[in-house]
Amino acid sequence: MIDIHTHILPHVDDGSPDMETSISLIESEIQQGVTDVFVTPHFYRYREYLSSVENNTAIFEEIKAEVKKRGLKVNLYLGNEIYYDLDTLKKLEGKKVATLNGSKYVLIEFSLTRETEDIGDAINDLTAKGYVPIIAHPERYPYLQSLNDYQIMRRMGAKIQVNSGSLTGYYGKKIKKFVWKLLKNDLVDFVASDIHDFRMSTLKVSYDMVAKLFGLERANKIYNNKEIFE
Amino acid sequence: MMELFEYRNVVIESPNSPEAEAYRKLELNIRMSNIDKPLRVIQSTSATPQDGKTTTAINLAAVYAEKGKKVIILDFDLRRPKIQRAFHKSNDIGLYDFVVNDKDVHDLIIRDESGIDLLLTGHKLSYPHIVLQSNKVIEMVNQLKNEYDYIVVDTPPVLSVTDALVVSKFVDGVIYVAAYNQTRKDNAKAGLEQLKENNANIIGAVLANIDVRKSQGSYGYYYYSNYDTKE
Repeated sequence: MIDIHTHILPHVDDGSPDMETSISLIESEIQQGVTDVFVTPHFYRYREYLSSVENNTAIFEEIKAEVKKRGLKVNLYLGNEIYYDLDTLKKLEGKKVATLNGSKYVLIEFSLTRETEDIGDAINDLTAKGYVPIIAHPERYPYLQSLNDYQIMRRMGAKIQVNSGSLTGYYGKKIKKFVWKLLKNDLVDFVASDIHDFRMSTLKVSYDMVAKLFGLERANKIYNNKEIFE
Repeated sequence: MMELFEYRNVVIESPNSPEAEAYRKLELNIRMSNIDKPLRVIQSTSATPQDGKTTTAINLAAVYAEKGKKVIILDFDLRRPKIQRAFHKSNDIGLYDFVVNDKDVHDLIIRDESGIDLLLTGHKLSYPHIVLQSNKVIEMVNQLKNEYDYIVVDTPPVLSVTDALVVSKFVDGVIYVAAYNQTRKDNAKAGLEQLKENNANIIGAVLANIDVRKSQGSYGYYYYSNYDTKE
């Protein structure tokens, strides 16, 4: 599996307090069957997660060295989960925030409570500059609960990433019901763990659920979506 | 709820279509409405949102570009700007930077591959109606008049906010767009009344969204009629 959304870089956000925790998070990813992990620390001004790309890269190199030293079999890539605001585009252009592994894909999140930015305008502005926005866990946004919204985001060129925990019911019944509706309507591009030290990965469980209901091919398409390397 | 906001520029995308032809007719009618003193700054507005004012603005601009004229679209719908969507541009620079950061307007103009220049809104401005009636903005438009053959101005709908009326005072003429089977008649009337009360030079009305096939192509996509404000 490819996990495109994780918070396993130590010290930089609410993901992991130290290297030891980070390593155990990576080990848990491997146990889940993940072969490729995108490390996507928050860049979130209002929560003051502002660790620079340089800082992230330095810590990322440390973690990679540690993984190698311990002989863990996993590929690691660096990116950001960027909380979208009016400066996001400028920061991307100035390389102050990172795309996923330097690709055209950017993991973008919006407010979990209310619509503070026009998501359509955000997608328009990002795609106009050649980026492919991946919308992080939109099933958790109370204002994005209609299938039509997802069709529009897709049509505008965005990709949809849902959290594995949404499928298993970690975020409650309502989100669970809705995310399965998204899956039924083929409106999901990636399932990711969004793993933190307080939120363990449920990728294997949810993968099995999807495979049982929709078949292996569909499950692999969204849990092992190699498009991310294009 | 999200909205898609896809705009078709038929003059560019399907230049031989009857729809494109209707926009050429619109341009001709604007020209004929004032032969001796050509109208060069043209505002597109409507009574209510989603009536086709932006589609009219971009297609009219495309007709000017097609004729080899130098044309710019000013997105003066500062509240719900959409020109960036119609041309798929990032709305990261625009009028905001001119007004707030004193940037040279020429550094903010985007040149689209269609030959149409664009001034987008950029970041959101507070008090759009005050900005739009400022001397700074009006002088900028007058300066652009020296550099462009035509300036097409997209503004908010008349009944939503006062902005369209504010802009109508410094343009040469206003095109008033209503959507067939959509704009309510009383709204269309009320909007027109407001423009008239503000002494706007209403060049004509455009009826958008007519299905050419259903109307047997007799009027094309847009039905255009002269509207005499002195009546």
